[in-house]
Amino acid sequence: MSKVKEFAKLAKTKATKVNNVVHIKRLFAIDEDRVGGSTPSPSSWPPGEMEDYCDTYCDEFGCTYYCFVWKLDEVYSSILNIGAPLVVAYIYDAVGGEYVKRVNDVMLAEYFEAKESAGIEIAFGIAASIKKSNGEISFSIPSFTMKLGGDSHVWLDYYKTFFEGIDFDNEAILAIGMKGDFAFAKYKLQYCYTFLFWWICTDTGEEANMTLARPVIKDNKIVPWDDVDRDPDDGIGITEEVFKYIKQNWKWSADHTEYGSIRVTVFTISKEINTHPLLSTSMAILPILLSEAPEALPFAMIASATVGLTKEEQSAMLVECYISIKSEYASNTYVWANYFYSPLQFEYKGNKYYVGALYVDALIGVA
Amino acid sequence: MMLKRSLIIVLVAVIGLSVIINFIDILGYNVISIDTSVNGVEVKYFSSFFAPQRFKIVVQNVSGQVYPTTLSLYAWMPNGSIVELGRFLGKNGIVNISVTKIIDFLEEWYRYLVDRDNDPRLVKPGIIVLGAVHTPKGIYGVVKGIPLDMVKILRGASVEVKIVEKLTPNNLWYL
Repeated sequence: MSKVKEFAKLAKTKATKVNNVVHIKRLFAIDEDRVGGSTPSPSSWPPGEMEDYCDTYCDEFGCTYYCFVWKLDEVYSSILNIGAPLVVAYIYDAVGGEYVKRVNDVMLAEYFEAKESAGIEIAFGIAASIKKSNGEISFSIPSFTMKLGGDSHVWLDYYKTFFEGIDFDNEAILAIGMKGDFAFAKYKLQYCYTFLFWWICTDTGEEANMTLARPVIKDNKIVPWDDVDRDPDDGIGITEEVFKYIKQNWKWSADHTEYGSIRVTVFTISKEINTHPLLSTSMAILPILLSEAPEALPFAMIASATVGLTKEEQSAMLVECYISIKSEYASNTYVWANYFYSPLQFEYKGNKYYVGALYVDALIGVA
Repeated sequence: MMLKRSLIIVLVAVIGLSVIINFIDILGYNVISIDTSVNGVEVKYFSSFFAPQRFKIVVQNVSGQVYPTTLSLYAWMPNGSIVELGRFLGKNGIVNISVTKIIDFLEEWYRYLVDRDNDPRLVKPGIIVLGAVHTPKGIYGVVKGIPLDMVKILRGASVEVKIVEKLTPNNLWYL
């Protein structure tokens, strides 16, 4: 028996667990802006004359009028104006910090420019997981929470050079990013049917969980943010929490090893994991959200906020990590770097892509 | 004979009048811009001199077929709350959305942005659209975030959003 028929039959036997009883007038909003026209007239009765249902299921006992409708079930978490890392470098060694002292500096940069007349805008993606009633979960980026436009408008141009001996002098996690608002919400698909003068709605078991992200903007600029965690193992600090989560749960990139200096950019990621420019970099906001809503953990994998361009254009976007070794050690001291990307692929524009994160795990070593 | 002639004159007058009205309506209809940056979504802003401001969403499959569709619209407000703008039904895939709800949401964003010295023409906050398409083959899903040009809408532009969904087994929920 089809699922729809199952629902209809359950409705008839009234054995369905009723989660919601809605007065018949209130299932759909009335389009009050229109006078006359084809606006559904929800108050007529009997249902055979009603216009505001989607389909009918009839059997020997009569007909059921029904619609499937989405409803916001729960906002797990919604936090405003919090710093989120976009570029991270974890600088460490295997000898208790001695080699870290050979680092001259770590430069992290972020740049986003809109060129709207050329179709280039800065877009903040929605990440969604759809859980079907059979338990199957699919992941997608079903488009954007917000777009930033303008022509040759630079929304974010921020870099910070972290010097060894000044900003850090041992193992450290360095980060830059932006101030943002983040939310994580669950929607449920309901089966709604008419019964006497009411719409009765029951959950179908289908859920959509969504991560929403947007930047804090002031004076037409995204507000930048930076952070240094000088004690990466004390379990305190958002940068440490975010980085460690990603390191433990996301996929590791191929190794990048260079003597003297190393540069990893969003283009490195885009090329290597063959992803869309919109998805090549992201802010892993999971620990931020989980601190507010630990019950969201089953869907936590998706809690990543992509930020990118609506169209590929290298001159309009740069996200970069550059690590350089002091000149006297450059010939024999290497940086072994890896970045991370999502453990699952997300559907976007009909294809499946990994989401990248320019979170660099940089081991300093000596040959 | 006389009656027949009068009928023909009335008929010609009615047809003529409707042609003139349509012509005037076409003259007053002006497409301001079309945004296709969101996958599978076309957002058309237009002005219509002789019709009130409206906001409609059309959901169709790739070959242009339409079905009864319910849409639940949500907005993420500046204060962090997620509010329901309404649940709407389009029996023929054409869903008329309450434009006042959209305007209320955009006006709040407008005030918030201007208070922080931002140019609201540059920022496009999105609505979240979740839909269920009732086809003879089953119920298909629509999940979209659609950024809107708040200044155009607040200046009175009407909006027609066309969502083209591939109705594939991937987004088929119920047979």
